[in-house]
Amino acid sequence: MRDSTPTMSAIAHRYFRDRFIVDVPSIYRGPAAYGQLCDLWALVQGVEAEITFSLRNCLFLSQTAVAFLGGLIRWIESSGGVAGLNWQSVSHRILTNLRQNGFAATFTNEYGPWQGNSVPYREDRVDVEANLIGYLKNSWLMEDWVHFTPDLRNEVAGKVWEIYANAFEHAGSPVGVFTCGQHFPKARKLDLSVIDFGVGIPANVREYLINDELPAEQAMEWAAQRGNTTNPRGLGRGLGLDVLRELIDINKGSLEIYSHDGFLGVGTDGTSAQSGGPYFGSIDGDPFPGTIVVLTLRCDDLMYTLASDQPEAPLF
Amino acid sequence: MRIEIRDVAGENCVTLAEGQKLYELIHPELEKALPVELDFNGCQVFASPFFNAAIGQLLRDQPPDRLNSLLRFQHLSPGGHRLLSRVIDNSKQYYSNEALRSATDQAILGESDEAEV
Repeated sequence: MRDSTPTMSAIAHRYFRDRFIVDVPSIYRGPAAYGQLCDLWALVQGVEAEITFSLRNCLFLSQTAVAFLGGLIRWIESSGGVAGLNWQSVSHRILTNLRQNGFAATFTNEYGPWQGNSVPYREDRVDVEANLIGYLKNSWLMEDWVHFTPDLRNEVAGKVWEIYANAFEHAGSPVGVFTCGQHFPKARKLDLSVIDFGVGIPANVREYLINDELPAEQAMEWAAQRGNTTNPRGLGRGLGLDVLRELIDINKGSLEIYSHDGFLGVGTDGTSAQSGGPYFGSIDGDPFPGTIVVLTLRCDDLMYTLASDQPEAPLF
Repeated sequence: MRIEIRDVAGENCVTLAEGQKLYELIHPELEKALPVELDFNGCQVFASPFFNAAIGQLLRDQPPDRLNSLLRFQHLSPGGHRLLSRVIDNSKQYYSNEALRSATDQAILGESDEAEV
């Protein structure tokens, strides 16, 4: 049964006319932002009243926050609750962004999306790979943003698909997978955030290894090792992160994976895993149980070259 | 036997389910020691779940020498070829040394135990 007492949180909230109002703060990126998202998650747990997210104090909403907010609304709905944005509280700048990336049209009768620097918000309950790969190739790796050859665009889309494959195969998210992206023309970077509301990487690894006490960072490290997978089907698996790591290495991009109180970062300085504590800001109570993946690629085409020769050696 | 992969999986060869479909076409032929040609003409995007199910899984009961002599890959893009090669390496380890997985698991469990002491 849902408890009517909200968790203590650094995020402002109040009851007003039988509604539970949550003041979403400005949310940028990185571990501190993940802490804010965890706070939002914790805050709405057990709330029986209709939940309204107000953006009156919000000056910036990253693409990760957009995808998370959409997913959180869907999760509340799937749990029998009612939630939505107070659209009157949204600043003109953020409203334009939410219209442009299609978030507004998803939740209201607002118009959008249209082409800009925001990569469209999307919700996927099932893995219709043709739709998702079309999205990655045409809405994220847009020709105007990255001057990739068709082969390179296909190869990068395949590597990024591994994120979705993991989410759909392992997460068990009751509301599916949520995506949003952003192009930063001055920084010549492309971000993509993929979020599920499933059981999370640490929980999957702990169950697979039959070790409830395994710290989150060790679980994240285990999952990051080539060949390791919690897939029970007896297939050789566990290459998804390895494939992404290759892309990051060549492109000089980065990958951040947050799940429970665990963090795994892949960048030019290698791979590192950390656990909770002050790293995730002001988490109070249980951390977010799902997984957030933030991939950043550099748009410079010279940073990524395809080897065109095929080795002569036998494959097997 | 010649298989047009596009007819089986479409232009995106990415999912476990489509890889499994292809495996079920290939495996019986190899069991009979018959050659199989896989034509990837028109296939654009590749991901490891597809190759794991379709090709990597063959190493469960087919020796590498037999696969090298009977299985032919045509019109596979360089990126697809690199990914396939990586999947095969991983699958060879997986199926040839089942102890590998338990050893890795034990290493993690051991570290955890030490941390608690």
